[in-house]
Amino acid sequence: MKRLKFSKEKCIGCQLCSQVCSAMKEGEYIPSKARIGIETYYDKGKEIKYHDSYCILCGICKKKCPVDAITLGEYIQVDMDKCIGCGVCAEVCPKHVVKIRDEKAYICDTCKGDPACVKTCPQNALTFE
Amino acid sequence: MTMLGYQNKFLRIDLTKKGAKTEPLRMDWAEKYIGSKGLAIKYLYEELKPGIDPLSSENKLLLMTGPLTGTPVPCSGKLSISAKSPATGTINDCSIGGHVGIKIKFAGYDAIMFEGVLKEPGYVLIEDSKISFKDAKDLWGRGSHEAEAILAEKYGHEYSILSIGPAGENLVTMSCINSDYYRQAGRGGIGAVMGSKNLKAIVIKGTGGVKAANIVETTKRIVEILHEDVLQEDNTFIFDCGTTAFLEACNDGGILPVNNFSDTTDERWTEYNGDVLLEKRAGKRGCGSCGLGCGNFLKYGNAICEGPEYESIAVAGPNAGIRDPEAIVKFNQVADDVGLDTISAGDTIIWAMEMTEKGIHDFGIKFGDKEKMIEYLYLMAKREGVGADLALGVKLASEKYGGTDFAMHVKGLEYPQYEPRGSWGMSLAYAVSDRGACHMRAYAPNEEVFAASIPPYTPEDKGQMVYNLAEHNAVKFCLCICDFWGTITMEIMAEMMTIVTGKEWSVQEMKDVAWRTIQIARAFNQREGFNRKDDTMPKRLAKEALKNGPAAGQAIPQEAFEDMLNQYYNVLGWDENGMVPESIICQL
Repeated sequence: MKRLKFSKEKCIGCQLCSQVCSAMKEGEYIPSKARIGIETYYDKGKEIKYHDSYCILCGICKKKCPVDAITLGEYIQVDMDKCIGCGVCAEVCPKHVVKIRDEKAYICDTCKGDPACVKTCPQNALTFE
Repeated sequence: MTMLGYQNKFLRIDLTKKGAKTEPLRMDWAEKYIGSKGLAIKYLYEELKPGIDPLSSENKLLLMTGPLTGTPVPCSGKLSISAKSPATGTINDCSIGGHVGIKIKFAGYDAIMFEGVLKEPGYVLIEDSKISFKDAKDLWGRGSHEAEAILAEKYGHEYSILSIGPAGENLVTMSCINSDYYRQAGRGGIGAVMGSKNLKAIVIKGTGGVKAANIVETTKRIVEILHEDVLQEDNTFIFDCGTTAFLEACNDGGILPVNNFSDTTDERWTEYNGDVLLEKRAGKRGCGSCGLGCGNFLKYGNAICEGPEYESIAVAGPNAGIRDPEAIVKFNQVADDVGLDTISAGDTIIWAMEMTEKGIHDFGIKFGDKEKMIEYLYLMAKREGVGADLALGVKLASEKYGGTDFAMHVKGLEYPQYEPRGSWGMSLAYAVSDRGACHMRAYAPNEEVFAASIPPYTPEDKGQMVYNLAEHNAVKFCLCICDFWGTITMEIMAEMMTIVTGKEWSVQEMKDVAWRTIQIARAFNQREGFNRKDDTMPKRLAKEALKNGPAAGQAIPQEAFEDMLNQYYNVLGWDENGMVPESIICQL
């Protein structure tokens, strides 16, 4: 199974990944709704810090889903008919990827095994392997 | 037709009344000026009363994005910040990187205009549609970096911050605005405009989105352009070296200034070049929507900064008779923190060094005095002791103490670090730039020195050359695309506009936008009383030939300079006094 990998040493914090992700998934450039959120920032101007929120396909969301709305094959799929938007998946996600909106869970599906964020990343900080 | 990419929302903040309201963006103006630089100047041309004091409540501070801001169009994350300049009295649009531009767009606005004055020092907090006015008494007097750190701690890293240092608070007319600690809207005293409004900081978070036409196909094409055009060697050197790469090129080309522009070429340049500085690199950082990542985060002994950029290296290095890389980094760090533009503050100090060495006036500092150069920044920011005079900048200080021949400025804006005697077109570019001596309006060394596409030591064809360069940059800055996408063409810019907005833009239309932008900036300045008499070249460049380097023996005869001015005015359709005729003004 291929997974997203993030190399913080290479990241420049441009956020092109989340812009492109949201375009493909939400039809708008809206990083707050993207399935990936990678940012860098200066801590007091003295250190570069990283915030990296991306799906590592750990499957915890699937295990904890009370209504079995989540399946994990080569990638994650949420059955929107089954999903009740309870937010358990978001609570347990170790990478804070899951977004609950309008009582539904939105989770990265690695663009069905062909992630747009990886194709975009200008510094090869994101890979799929 | 409707153009996507825009939010169609202009936020007007009244600091006097502590009120905010939104209005539709003037799309009729956006069709003529696109956004950022051009659209900002159009708004200020229409709204600022001629002759106002730039540090009075009548001046307005305008943050302007463009239709590409917030999209993944590479290098599109910059923001234009503009106002009437207290340094020059001209229009002054600055371009700042970081992430604040895209945050404004995601908060739902194309532009934010600050009007009036806060009664007490404060900052404005913008969280999408919610605007709050906050007290900043505890922040006032603090360095820009410290103020940003306090606000970042309070609000978190999702917020972007614009702030000023003590120099801006004290209305020093070479003060800057900082963001992301190490990014500046540096020139023309834009920080003093913010300070005059008692506005210590602007804190902003945006969670909304930006729309584009046919977004999936548009995004795929943008990603293709990113990988095929942006990420090629001609641009990616900026990731590897930042602008330290220019040091060698400028030294080899005979345009690296030494000892307050008294000569060029420094045989000791390898003591403080990129190889030396970048050994201390602690990380890399780019702006929002970047791709190239020019920012080199350095820790050099006691000094820390992102950069230093070529300008700061040159002015605090060879042009100050200093060859100490740590001192250069420290100069950059302190200037940013106290909120001074490194170019103007540096130029003023090196002018004072020459004044002292020549015995014209003793400013207590000579070439090579690296500790004093840093100490003087603090004094200038507070207008204390010798700093009170130096805070005036080279124009006013030289009018007071002499040394006007080697006071390196145009219209009161100090010279960037490209010596025109080795690139004659640069003297014209500085002279006719819309905000005084600025290297970002038309970068002549590209043609005259680096590409060597046109002979450097002649006035011939320089009017057209400078216009062509200015036209290209004007479009770039109306789109708010970073200068470091060096391979971008007018065709690519037209394509990006077309695919994002959904309205067809031709190359000719982009050129028309540039033409209008250059004309309206000139018209603004003309209304303030500027004309040919103000399009000047420091006397040193005509009177003293260079002694060293590839351009040794070169001076720019005054007649050659006047010839270049005439050519440029002809290209723009201005009269011999450099005035924009009414027949053009009515088209703007």
